Amino acid sequence: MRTLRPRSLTLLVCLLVSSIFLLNPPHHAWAQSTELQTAKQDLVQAFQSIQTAERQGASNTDLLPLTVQLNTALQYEEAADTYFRQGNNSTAVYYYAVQSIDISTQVSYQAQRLGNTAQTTTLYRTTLSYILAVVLALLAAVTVLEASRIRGFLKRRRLLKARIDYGGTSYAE
Amino acid sequence: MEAQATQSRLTPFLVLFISLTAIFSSVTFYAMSSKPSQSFIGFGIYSQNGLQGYLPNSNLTVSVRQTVNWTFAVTNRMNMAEFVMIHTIIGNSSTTPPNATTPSTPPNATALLGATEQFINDGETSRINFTWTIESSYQIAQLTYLNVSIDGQSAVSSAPVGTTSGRNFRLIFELWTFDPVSGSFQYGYPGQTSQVGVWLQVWFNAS
Repeated sequence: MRTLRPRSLTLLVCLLVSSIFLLNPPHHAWAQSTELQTAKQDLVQAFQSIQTAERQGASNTDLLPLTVQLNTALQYEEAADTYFRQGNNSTAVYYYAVQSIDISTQVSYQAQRLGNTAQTTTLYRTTLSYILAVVLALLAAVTVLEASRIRGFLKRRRLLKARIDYGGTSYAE
Repeated sequence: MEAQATQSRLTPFLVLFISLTAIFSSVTFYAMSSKPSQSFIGFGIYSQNGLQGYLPNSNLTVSVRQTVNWTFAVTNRMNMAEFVMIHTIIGNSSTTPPNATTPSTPPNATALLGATEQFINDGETSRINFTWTIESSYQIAQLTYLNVSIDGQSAVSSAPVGTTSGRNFRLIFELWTFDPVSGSFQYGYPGQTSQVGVWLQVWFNAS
């Protein structure tokens, strides 16, 4: 009986400690660190979207506002990280991390849209340029081969346009 | 007879047309190709009041609790946006500085004080404020150690870096760029064959 008492006490203590964790689970802090982790991942993803858009032909002028926005998202993420390390303001961590995620997501979306538009424009411009090159080659080939005919045609036109001289007006008078 | 005449004119036309198409297409390709350029990242530091301390035994003296404002200038000519990080490391005269391939490795005779991150668009020069303060100094075995705060963050000790009478400390700045493939920052920027290390240092005396 005496030997059982310390064991039951230990069990009781264990149950009490467990119940404390059940009542106040460390879920909140874990969730916030997840938000911070997501903010970091989204920043990298948005940055990669900008690089992809550049490879697809988006201009620096179009992408500059996105980089500025991404730096704002980075500042929010750094603020969240600072509060997380201090460990005394969980609401601030959540707030800044969510702000950062929002901006990063918008930047990703806009970069993808710019990239797709740039890709379509580049494809259109390239096709048009090569079609123009072929048309020019065709015109040049025809011009070279038909040079004598063109010359004759131009001569004829010049003759037709020329004013007819009826042998001097002074005689008629 | 007419068919024969057409045949005799078609052959030179085709030869000429194909040749001219090749020439004009080559010109189009050249005009549409991006011009070759050597990509690089420029890295500098300056102060509105003029910055000394590029050489050892400089006259730059920083007092305890004095706020020092410097500015980094980072120029991105990598033909794409870059995510850069600047490591701020404190060292003394015996510290082995980084070189073109290898960064300095804290805590081996150096101490990492902080890191600043920034996204920089292609063709842009980003100016990043760098504010630092010597919050306090302390002495152990005739060596002076500093507690340095960067951009209002909590102070970080310079240990194991200490100097005699607080002379010849140096702040070393290393430029790191984010590598999307490995998902981590790499020292310097990607060159044609390998990473190109970029770093700066400013010498100062603490009083």
